[in-house]
Amino acid sequence: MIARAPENSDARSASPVSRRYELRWPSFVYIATALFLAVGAVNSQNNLLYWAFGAAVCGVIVSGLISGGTMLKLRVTREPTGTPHVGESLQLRYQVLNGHRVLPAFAVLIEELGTNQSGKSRLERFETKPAVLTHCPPRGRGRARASVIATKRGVTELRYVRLSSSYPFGLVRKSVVFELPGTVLTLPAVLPTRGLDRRVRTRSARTSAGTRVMNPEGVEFYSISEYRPGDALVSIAWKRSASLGSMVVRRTASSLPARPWIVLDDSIADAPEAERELALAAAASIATNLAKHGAAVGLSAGWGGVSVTPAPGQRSLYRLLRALASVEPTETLARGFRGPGAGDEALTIGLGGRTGREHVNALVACTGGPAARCHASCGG
Amino acid sequence: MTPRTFERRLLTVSVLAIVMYALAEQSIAVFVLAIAGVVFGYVVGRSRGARTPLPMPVVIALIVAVTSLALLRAAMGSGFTVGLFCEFIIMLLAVKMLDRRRARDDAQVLTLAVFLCIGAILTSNNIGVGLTILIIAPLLISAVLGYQLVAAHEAAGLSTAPPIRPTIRRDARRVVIVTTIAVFAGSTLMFLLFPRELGERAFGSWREVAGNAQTGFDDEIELGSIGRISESATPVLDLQVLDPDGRSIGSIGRVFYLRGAALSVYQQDPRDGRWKWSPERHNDQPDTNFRSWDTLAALRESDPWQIEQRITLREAAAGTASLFAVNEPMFVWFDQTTNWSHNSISFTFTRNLASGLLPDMSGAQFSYAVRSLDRAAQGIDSIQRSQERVPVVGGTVPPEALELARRILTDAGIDPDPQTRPVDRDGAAARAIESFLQAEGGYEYTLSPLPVRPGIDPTVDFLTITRAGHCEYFASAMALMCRSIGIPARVITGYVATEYNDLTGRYVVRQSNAHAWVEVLVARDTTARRQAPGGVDRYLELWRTYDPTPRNDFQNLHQKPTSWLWARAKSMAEAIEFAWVSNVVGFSSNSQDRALGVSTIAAWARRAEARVSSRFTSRDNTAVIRAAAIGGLVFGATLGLGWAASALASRVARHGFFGWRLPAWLRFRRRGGRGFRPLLGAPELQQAYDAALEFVKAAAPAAPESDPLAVRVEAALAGEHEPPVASQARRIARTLYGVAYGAQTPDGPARKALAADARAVRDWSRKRR
Repeated sequence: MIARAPENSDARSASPVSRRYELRWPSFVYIATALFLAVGAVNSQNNLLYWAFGAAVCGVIVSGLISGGTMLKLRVTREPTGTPHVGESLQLRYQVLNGHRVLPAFAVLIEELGTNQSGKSRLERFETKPAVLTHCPPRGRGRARASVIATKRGVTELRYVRLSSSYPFGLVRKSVVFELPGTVLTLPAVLPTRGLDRRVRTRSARTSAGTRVMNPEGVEFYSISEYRPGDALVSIAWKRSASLGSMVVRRTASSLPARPWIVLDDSIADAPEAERELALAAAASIATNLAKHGAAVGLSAGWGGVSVTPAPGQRSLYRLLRALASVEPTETLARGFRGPGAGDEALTIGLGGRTGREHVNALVACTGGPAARCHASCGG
Repeated sequence: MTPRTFERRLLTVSVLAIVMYALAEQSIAVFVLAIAGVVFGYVVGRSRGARTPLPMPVVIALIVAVTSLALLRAAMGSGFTVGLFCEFIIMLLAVKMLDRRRARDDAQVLTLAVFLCIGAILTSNNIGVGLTILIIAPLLISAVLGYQLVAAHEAAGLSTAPPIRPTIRRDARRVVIVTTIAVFAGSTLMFLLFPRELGERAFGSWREVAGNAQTGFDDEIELGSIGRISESATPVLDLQVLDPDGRSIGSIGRVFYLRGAALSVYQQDPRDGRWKWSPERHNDQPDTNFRSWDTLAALRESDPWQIEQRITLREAAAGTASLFAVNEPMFVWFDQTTNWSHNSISFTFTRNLASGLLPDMSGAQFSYAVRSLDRAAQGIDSIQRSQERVPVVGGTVPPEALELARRILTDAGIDPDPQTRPVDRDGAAARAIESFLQAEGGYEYTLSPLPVRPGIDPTVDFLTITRAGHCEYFASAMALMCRSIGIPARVITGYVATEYNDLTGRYVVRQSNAHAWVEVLVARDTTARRQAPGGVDRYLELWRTYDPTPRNDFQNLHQKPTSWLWARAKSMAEAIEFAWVSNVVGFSSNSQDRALGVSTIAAWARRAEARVSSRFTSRDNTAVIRAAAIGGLVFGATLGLGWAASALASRVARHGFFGWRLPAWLRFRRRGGRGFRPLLGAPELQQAYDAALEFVKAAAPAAPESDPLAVRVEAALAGEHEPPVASQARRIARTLYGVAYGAQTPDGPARKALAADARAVRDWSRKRR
């Protein structure tokens, strides 16, 4: 996960927008048992059964007083969230304030409901599990966090948060819903590229004069240096080491294009959603890896009306990834849309060959020099 | 509560539930086997890993086996009784202990433990059960609360244990204590106020008392069999003996014989000698002086009685509960206990016979009082007997008994021939036989069962060969010898009240106090002889008590010597137990009326029940409909009252009551009212927060409320002209942000500065608005 700007919003809690009492299967067992106790007490005039029936009735009342009173006094705020890639987990952090003067809150589950105020917990583009607040003292605060997995790129709207608890006896599930508007941007996945970017870099090095950077995966000789722990055995220059009397290794370098463009082919727009997502993931992966090696990467997707001018640095990469996160097929070009110029190097990513759910053959065409095409695979 | 603590509590609750049932059932076997099974399940379940129990097919096979066994026993036995249900629950509990995969399984274990507790309550209401309830209730509440924490973490997909800090522990303890006190208080209130006798037996009799229950007492004697002699120290009844002035006449060392059944028919059988009760001989004077308990005190002065006995049967036997009394009763008063309907009485109770049968007592506690005359003061039966006496009353007499009786009387200088012996010498003759059996004959008292010789009458066997036996043999021998010499005699079974508790002023009568003795019809005294017309003597006679059992041997066997300290402790424990029995177990509608004056409610409820049930009396399914109607009535009333009370409390809390309003801190807050106010822990911080809000509303009313306060403050300051309080507003926002998100705590000077900033900002905002 790269460093990202604090754009994902948080929201401060207001009063609950709704509350709900929900009977669960223990409630029916409890009611049946209480009914049995009442009938047994009345029928057999067994005094301890009268007492037990009284305890059962009081259990309901006490349960309502304890958890109902506490739940209505809870307030929640969501702390600023991060920006995950698809497949990564996102920590949703909450701060809960208990306004009750006497009673603490225990075992409170905090769930994101998305934009649907009622119903089951669901958050688009995420696999969610509730956060649990073990304890919140009276007139105090507690913190809870949920780890949700991002499943799809894009912008997710956070709106309703539900606090629920069946404390103390599990008879009734009491829940209150708060409106906490916010958004989470999920970036495309950065997948293992299986040599895709290396081959791209190799091809590019042969066809253009780019920047030479030291790269263990490079093919060009760069220098000889002392062996350091962690260096690969294959990189040891044995003859040189023998003549120098100390262990030295060969350093290699690769040439990178200075300002490559990643061009998303029009075939991606018409592809099924799963394949399109994988192509976008491939683009994000290549861009990330190229940027890691110092390249200033640009993006152009005419079918999505998106372009990002090549610029060095993490911020530029983040802008590119955001663009990839939100790109969708559209008829209109974005304002100031610009593609690679005639002299720019472009890595065109299209779809072709065998595709699968977790595997895509991205067709990458490197331009800017003699026409060349290379096939590489990219998959998770 | 950590999962480990919760698991330990789960085990404790399960074991205590078993202990409660074992105490109710008074079964050592249940105690040992069930606890061993549950602990084994717990240990094996843990040793295989916290959540890696037995394979599911094995668990299913065990559950099927347990269920099949229970169904088989129900089909082959007497149906699905409470005892069978509890044993089924115990077996399920042991299986579930082996199968705790998820939090839900722990909940099932807790539920089974609760069911077992209910089964124990249905089985018995003894003090052991009561004390165990007091112990298990808070533990159960604590375990359920702990389960909620564990279940919540499981729902959140967390595998690690919830963090337990001292504050959590303290708050959890507080919740458990508050919940326990509230539940105990509410349930006690329900216990006191719930109308009794409402819907009694609407579903028939639930409880099946174990058929082999040993009470020591029986209204029949089979000498050839082991009998029902018991050495158990389990209390059977409590006896209080009063004189006409209401003073207790019981004391340590004074013994009262509580007559239960008079057995007047002896069947000489090749295998056993059997003494039986003969109702046709004694129901000639049915006594109808049954009165309700509340008239007892009012009638104290009006009746010519001399001894009042107040008796509480702790657990009457089902179907044939016998009444016990010291003397021939004149009047009987019944406490209208909840378990017994006054209208259902149909027992044959006579003055001569202190035993009677109550219908279907179902093992309930039962209290009554008997008033009687002192038989030593005057005879009750005036019987005209001619010199032609009937030699035998009821059954035959073995010749060996006659021979031995003649020898005893001859040795004592008393004419053994009933034709020639004066009637007023009958008492001396009976005394001689009693002395012979007690001491002179060299008979041994033993509780050990003796082998029955085939073809010999057991009484004859006792008198001539074994010369050893328990009280029934002694009583039978004396009664037969008296009859053989023409003196009417009968065997009485009942209890000997010997154990006086000076703390309660009552005798505690235990199963081991069960006894058999003899009543012989003798002349009251020689002055009672009168010459009747025709040369026939008339005597004022009475049934006098004789106990031929060697007293020292009897007491040595039944009363273990104890130290003073132990005796005092035992007295205190028994006093507590009696208080439990009389005040909790025996709590009845009369108790309600006396203690709380709720007779109106109870009467209304009973009338309502009668009215509802009368509508359905003509139908075949009366019982079911009646029960449903009663159940609905009770639940509807309970729920309705609860709802009304809740609504009233809510209304009073919100709007007050006829002008009177609750203090502010007790009032309910209106939902959706003032909105969120963070609890910042200090008044200066709250004031600063309010001031910042006012500032934002005044300076940037369009700023979205969802933004953090610091952002809204900055938005308010982003205009062309910064307000004069900009620096103060920024400081406030920064401080609040640090408190809310940075866990910062401003010190004293900082708070003062903050308060000053807040005042300045608030003043400016108000002017601006």
